[in-house]
Amino acid sequence: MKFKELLKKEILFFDGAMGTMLQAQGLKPGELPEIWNFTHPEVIQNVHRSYIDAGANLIKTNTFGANALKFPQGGEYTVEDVVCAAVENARKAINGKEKTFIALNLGPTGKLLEPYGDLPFEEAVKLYAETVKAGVKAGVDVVLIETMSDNYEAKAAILAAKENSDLPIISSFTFDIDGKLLTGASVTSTCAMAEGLGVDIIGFNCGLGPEQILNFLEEGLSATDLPFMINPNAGLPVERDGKTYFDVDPDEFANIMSKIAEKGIAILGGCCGTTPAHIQKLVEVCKDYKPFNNAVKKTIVAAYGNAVVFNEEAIIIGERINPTGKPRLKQAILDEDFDYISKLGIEQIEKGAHVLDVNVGVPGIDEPKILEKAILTLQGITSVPLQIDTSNYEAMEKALRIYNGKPLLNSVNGKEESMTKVLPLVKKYGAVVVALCLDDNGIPEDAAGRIEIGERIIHQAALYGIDAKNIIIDPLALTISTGSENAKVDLEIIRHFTAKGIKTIMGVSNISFGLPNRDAVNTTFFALALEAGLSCGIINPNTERMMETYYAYNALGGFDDGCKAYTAQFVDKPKEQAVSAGKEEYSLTEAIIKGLSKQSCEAVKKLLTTEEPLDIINKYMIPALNVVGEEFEQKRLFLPQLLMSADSAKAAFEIIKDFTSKNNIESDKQVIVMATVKGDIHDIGKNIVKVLLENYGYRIVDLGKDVAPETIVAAVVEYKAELVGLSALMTTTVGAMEETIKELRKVSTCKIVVGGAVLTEEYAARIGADAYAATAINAVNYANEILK
Amino acid sequence: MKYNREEALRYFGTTKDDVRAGSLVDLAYLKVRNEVKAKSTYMRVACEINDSTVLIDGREKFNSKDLATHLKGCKEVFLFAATLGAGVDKVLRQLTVTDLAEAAAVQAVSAALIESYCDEICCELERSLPEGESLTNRFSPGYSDWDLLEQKTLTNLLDTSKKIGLTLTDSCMMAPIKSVTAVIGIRQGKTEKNINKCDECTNGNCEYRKTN
Repeated sequence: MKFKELLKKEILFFDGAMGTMLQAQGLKPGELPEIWNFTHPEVIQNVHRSYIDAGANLIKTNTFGANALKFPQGGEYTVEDVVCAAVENARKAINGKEKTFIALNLGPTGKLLEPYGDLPFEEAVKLYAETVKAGVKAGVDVVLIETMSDNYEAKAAILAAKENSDLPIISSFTFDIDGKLLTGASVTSTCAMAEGLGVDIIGFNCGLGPEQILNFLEEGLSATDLPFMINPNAGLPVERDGKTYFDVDPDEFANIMSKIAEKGIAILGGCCGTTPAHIQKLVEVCKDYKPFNNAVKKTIVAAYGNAVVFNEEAIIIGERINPTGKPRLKQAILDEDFDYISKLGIEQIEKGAHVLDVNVGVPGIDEPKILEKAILTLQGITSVPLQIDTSNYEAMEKALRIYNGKPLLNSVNGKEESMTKVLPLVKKYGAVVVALCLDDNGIPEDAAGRIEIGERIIHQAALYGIDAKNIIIDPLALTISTGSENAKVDLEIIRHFTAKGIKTIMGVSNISFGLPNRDAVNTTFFALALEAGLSCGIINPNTERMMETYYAYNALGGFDDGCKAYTAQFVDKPKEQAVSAGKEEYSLTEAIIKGLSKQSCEAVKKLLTTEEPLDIINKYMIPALNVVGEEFEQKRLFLPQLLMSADSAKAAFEIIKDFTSKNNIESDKQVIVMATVKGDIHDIGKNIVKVLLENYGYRIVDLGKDVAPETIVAAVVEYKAELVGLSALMTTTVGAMEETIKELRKVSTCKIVVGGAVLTEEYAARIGADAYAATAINAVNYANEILK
Repeated sequence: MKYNREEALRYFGTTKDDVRAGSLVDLAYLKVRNEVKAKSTYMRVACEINDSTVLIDGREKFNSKDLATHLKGCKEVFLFAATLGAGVDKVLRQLTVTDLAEAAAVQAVSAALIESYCDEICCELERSLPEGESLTNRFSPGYSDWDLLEQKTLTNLLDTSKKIGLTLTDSCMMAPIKSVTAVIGIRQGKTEKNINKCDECTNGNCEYRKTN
């Protein structure tokens, strides 16, 4: 009988721990347990056999760490060798027994993925793919991805399993006592992502005992209708005399597990500290429970923090990261200035956005590359879910693939081409997709026409296996200035789909295009749409009146208990205004020297009405920065003041940049390429130098951290940079710096300045740099000397 | 875990009389404290001290004369690792974009926090020792003449990635950023600890070196 036929029909039992069993038989700390597949096959088989005898139906292969990082090609054992031996051991132990299956065990890689660590997402996919392929070849029955404490790594493993096998997949996560993964994802986020990616079973294992898992099991069960597997430790680990113990005995374990079984769980088993005795007792106590499904249909999007669940209260999607009509953003996209994009994101989150729309569509750019970078950058600074907004299919797939979590995709529409291209991607990457009510014939004028398109998309999606909960209908707001029925049509469509339990979304402000005093129309329409059932509004959260309407509507609609959110939003407002009214005025120079950001912004705005941007930089900003730099060198002021001044100059600079891009003022800036070298992931020092140099008017091409020599060389050639700044923090990464310098010398006459904690003047000279900057100010002085 | 403001200001490159820097670090503490998810792990193992090597558990060798000196007379050590978790990294990246001074302040505050946290855990460890045993200060890979690359051995032995989510990059940098690994000697009898830990380190160029 096949595993899938048995699943959900009767409760199944996993085995217990392998690792702690082997430790009890002499496996040393730091020793790779997978080696025992070769050196102690009888021990491994005995462990398996004792679990089978205890009543387990599912046996984990001893391959938890079987990846190419630990078993590289050309080593004593390859990944394939390990998997093959491990499966052989499991098979021998099973010895043809009925209803007993082999689960290929895939644990974490032991590395953190970018941007937290240095393992690129696609590398992680490759590592898992190799193990999965070996497992398929060896004939396993199930793929078990377990002990995942990072959503992103789990996604890599699931994709690898999906792309290289047709086997059932169990994806099992390790939460801490608060119900969070190590990287911060909640139970709901995690389950939503795994379900979206098409796993068959979601599991919780390791980290905690059954009692602690019970605390958040309900959250998991209410996020998805997939079957669950629960494999806890034998209690929380207890340290005694510097050693770890698990204290929950088989009786107690089985007892608490029966409370878990009551909830209809499909598979039960054990992890660290459990023994065949635990499993035997577990089977004895729980074998008569029947697994059942939870009827849950929730629309959820998530990144790696808390999920955004579509409930009664509407969701705000920040629309600002979209270059249409925004010259400054357009320029930032062309310059690959991701700091600016990040800032737009943070600003909207602070103003109350729950999700950020990300659209980088500027003609002439490499959109797949830029969108991917934008998503990675934004996910590095926030765990708020993103709405991937593009009509470029290649960019769409890339972005969906590297996105960490369950994405929202904008959009599919009723055109044949759109549905054929987009829906398979929605299915594969588990997205929630916005469905625009338009097709090859355009946008129907009446509600019935648009409703028909919406229904058609839902129907078509179902053929791809996409649940209606993952479709959000956009009725399309067309301005009432060209059609007086336009608002009414939208409201009717929203009501129609809301009545059927389908979620809706709309870019609200389009309704007033071409009209004066648009805010009045937008806010009223927003309130009407919310009342009709609109699930999410794509709006500009910086527009105060829209957010006022949103909070007021929630309070009026009964979604804001005790008007708490409303009060929290608005109670402090008058006070803030009073404070800003009473402050004194500073000149730009003064404000920068004193490190006052607000004041320097006001001063620069005033100056822009009378002076040229370039003059402002040369006459006020640079002299101010020079004063600060000198004071710092003389040790009359310290790092904090230097940074505050840099921040206030940067704020003023932003305003100048806004002004020049709005007025199409071209400026010829000298380019400096900067990077933290390969292997080095600490970049705060480099970022400080970068901001200072930007304040002096240089254009910085910032390649980020952990940058390969060839990438730096390519950028220097592309931008014809005359100066390169490199940073390295550790003795282990100075080698990469030396190599980068060597490569640069082959193709460019650029000057190279280096800095970082382990470097010294002599060291810098020895690895061939032109200059060593002990402080950020040294770097600035050197740049001014070379480039002016 | 204790917030040692004075240490935070020292890491920030200033002193406790600096009023504006003081308010920056206080604000930084408020920003970062909810992101901190401190975790630690340790293991008691036998060691064999030679002139310039320390043999752990009879099979893994650390090569460092200064470590050997530090552990002189010890028959056992604690291998130790701790981290503040990945949340701090996210705050740092976010502030780097919006507010550099605040980012540097968070960097300084979390450096002080991880030290306090390690001190607290080690203090507890010392208290739980059998009568007559005491602990030396922590000694970490990268200190003095101990090659950072040997950090790998330490994290492998402790299985830090699984136990507390502490991983290493290829160049042996720790991720999450605010993390510590160390060896702590277990002595019979009382240990005279250097109050200034910097006295045991030979890196004279370190900008954070404390002078007495």
